Amino acid sequence: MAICKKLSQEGLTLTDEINDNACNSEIHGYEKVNRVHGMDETKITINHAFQKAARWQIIVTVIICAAILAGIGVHAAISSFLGGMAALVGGYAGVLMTRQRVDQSPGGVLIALLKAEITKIMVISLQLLAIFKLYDGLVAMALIGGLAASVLVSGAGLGAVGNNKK
Amino acid sequence: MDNMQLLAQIQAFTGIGIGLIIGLGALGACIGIGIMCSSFLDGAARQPEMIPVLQGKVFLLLGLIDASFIIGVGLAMMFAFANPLLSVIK
Repeated sequence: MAICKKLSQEGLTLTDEINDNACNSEIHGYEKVNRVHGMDETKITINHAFQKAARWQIIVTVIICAAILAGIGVHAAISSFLGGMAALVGGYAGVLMTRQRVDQSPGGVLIALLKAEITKIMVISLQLLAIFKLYDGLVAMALIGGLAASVLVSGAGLGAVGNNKK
Repeated sequence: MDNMQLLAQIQAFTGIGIGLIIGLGALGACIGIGIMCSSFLDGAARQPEMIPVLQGKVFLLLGLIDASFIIGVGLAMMFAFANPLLSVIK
């Protein structure tokens, strides 16, 4: 109970999920509070970083798409747009995987992140496979260009980590 | 050498190239991810309170490490489905 009071004095709140156990077992409850707060902080960080990366990915994809539309043609522009969107959708699928509640031990964190990465690669590969199979007017180099630019720009999300500004 | 032999040779070498692109890309990505994950575990063992901060950075760096591999997969698919090298045969 003392730890619960201390937490409330420090401005930390207990979630409903752990409220029952936290006061029954102080140490166990304190660990749970840390884990839940850590998870929320991580989710916020990842979501914020993904939003920033997605914004830059969309901007770069649209710019490349417009340049290709003006220089080459409609099919090439559509191909580059599809490439950029494949990387964006794959990244979002990876972020969705990290939103599941996971064990906050370092091993659990790594397993969750690797699952997210596998999901991302699989989603991107399947999208590329579908595009190559189904789109008859595909311009392959434009698709690769849009995909490469979008994937490389996704590192822009790193700038959002540890930065509270939007 | 007739066109069929040339076609078969191009496809065979393209298949080897596709395997090398994906295989070497995956090898490099796996080495990078292994180094980063070991560093993450090292940091988490030293400072457990930093795990949430490190987790976000690890997630983003995973994406950066895999960028070259994903581009390689795209290139490999281009060679598999729309091989530009086949245009030399007419």
